[in-house]
Amino acid sequence: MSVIPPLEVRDLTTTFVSRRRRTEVVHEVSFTIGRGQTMMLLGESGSGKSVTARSIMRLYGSSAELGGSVRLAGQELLGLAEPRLRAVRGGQISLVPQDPTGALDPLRRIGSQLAEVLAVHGVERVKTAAHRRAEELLAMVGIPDPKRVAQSYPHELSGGMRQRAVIAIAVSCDPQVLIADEPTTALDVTVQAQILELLADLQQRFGMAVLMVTHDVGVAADFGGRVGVMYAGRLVEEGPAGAVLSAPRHPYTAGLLESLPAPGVARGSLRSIVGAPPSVGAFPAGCAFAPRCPHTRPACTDDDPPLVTVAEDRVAACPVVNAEAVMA
Amino acid sequence: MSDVLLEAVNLSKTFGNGVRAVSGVSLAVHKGETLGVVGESGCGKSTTGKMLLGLLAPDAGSVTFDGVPLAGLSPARMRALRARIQMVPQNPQTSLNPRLRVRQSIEFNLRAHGAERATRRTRVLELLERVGLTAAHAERFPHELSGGQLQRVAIARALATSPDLVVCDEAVSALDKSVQAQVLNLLADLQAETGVAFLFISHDLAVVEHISDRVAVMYLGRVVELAPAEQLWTDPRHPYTQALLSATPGQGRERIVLSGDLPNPADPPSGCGFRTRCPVAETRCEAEWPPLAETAARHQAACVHVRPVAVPG
Repeated sequence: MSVIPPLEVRDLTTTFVSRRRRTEVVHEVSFTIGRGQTMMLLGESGSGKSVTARSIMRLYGSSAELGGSVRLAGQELLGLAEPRLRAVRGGQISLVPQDPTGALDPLRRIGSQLAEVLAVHGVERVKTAAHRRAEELLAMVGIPDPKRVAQSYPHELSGGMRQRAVIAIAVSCDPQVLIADEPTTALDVTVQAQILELLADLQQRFGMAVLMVTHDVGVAADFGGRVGVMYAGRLVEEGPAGAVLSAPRHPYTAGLLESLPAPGVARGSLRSIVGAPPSVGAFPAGCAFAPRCPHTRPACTDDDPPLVTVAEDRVAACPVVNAEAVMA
Repeated sequence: MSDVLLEAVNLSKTFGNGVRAVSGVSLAVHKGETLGVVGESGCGKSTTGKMLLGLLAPDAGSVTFDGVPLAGLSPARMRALRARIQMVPQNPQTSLNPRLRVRQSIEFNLRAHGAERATRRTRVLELLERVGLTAAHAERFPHELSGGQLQRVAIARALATSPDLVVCDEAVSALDKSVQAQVLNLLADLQAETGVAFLFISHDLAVVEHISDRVAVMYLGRVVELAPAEQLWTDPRHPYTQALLSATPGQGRERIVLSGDLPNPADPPSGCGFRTRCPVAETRCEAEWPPLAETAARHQAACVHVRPVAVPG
């Protein structure tokens, strides 16, 4: 029996186009997320993690050319006509962005913004019912006083409460796939813990496939599921989060983990990676990590190494060290 | 002679909009040490930093640098003192003049503190080399450098006057982790070489623990715990510190999820400001904010649940 996964991404390539130039920012990214499963895209700035997530929802419109395939419950999204796409977005697949303030209309009450989404997607067309449902959703995401919050404007809420409201909107139409793009980066750490707990709880209750984008190794490790490490627009390592983050196989993943301050590491002796991540549009040829990699060989600058299986259920894109765990 | 470099006693600051940003904060930075200040947004850590730098006048309390009170200093003496207290801000994109070359930005600081023209140029190159940049970077403009390089320039500029203390306000927070590690290593190296003291303000507990000798944890304008970094990490005593540590992702600790948000600093709760979110709050916590009390050697916490110990000495 073959089960159609909620999200299947194959060789997704995103190229930003302007009159003057073409800039490839995501190159042949592939992954699949099963029902109730999680995929974390982990990377530093410019790695293409957010662009991957937003390309899946085709949020760049005509400013980006997309290659490959994105299947939402078997339905191909690349090439889907705009009206059909609008029905899918916010319905079957929804987004929780980093900045909840920018995601909400500052001039409308929270409840009416929620009710609008329910109406547009045909979940609750009757106004009074939609407003009642909006309050239920706000209660579901742990807002203590949903009636009052439904009547509030975004600026009247704290950052954490705003993010809860955005999550309520995102899950309002019972999506199969929830994309969370750095959902807690703008929040304080104690509030971040609350929001991550809420997302995990909603995922468990509704069996959503979750794609989460983060720069925070700790968040990736705690949220679990699978992790895909991105560098210079490419997936360089992918596998179960626990395994990847405890015994990385790609030198970049290893370097990233060793850069983190941890108890027991003496001051001044963090094992940083030399140099800085490459700028978008100036990715080095061959293996993009080669200029910063401690294991570089001459061949590394010739070819773009493919992802190969390095252990059960794990792939990494490094021919030099993929035979063994690379962290000291 | 005491080795206290900077001492703040009972600092308080309330802004015009009624926000009580800082209430009764006392801190001391010793020569050559790194004091970390950690807390979430609105806890008053940056306001405290500004008062310690003399950039903001406290409503009450005093700041003393090397025995000299900052309040009432003449502008000329304040400027002379500024050579000894420098700062590295969070965002070098905005703290460096976009129209000045790197060399000019650093020279500006040298000139402001009276360095001879002839020595300035060689000093700039020395400083750049010291922070891991080259002479080629001296002629670049800020927009031509990466975030990590810019932060190195900001550090070079701060070191130009051979300060005794550098206040780093979220100095590595905007950097990617792989670059952040380089800058943290650089700060540690510079301290080992020059004996400069750091006041390191950050929201990132893991970074603060790594770089600091002692750490002050702030909540709602107060210091709620003060301890040697390692001790704070392994044996936090204040319930807020415990929750903050447990909420720091990737530590594998059992997570204590606090309910609710940070209270509004313009309308703080009565008594202990943490009681509205505290898992162990009691009625007596409504009465007053408990003072910092010694709970182990060199370890203080402000909580009625923390058992004070008699510390010899």
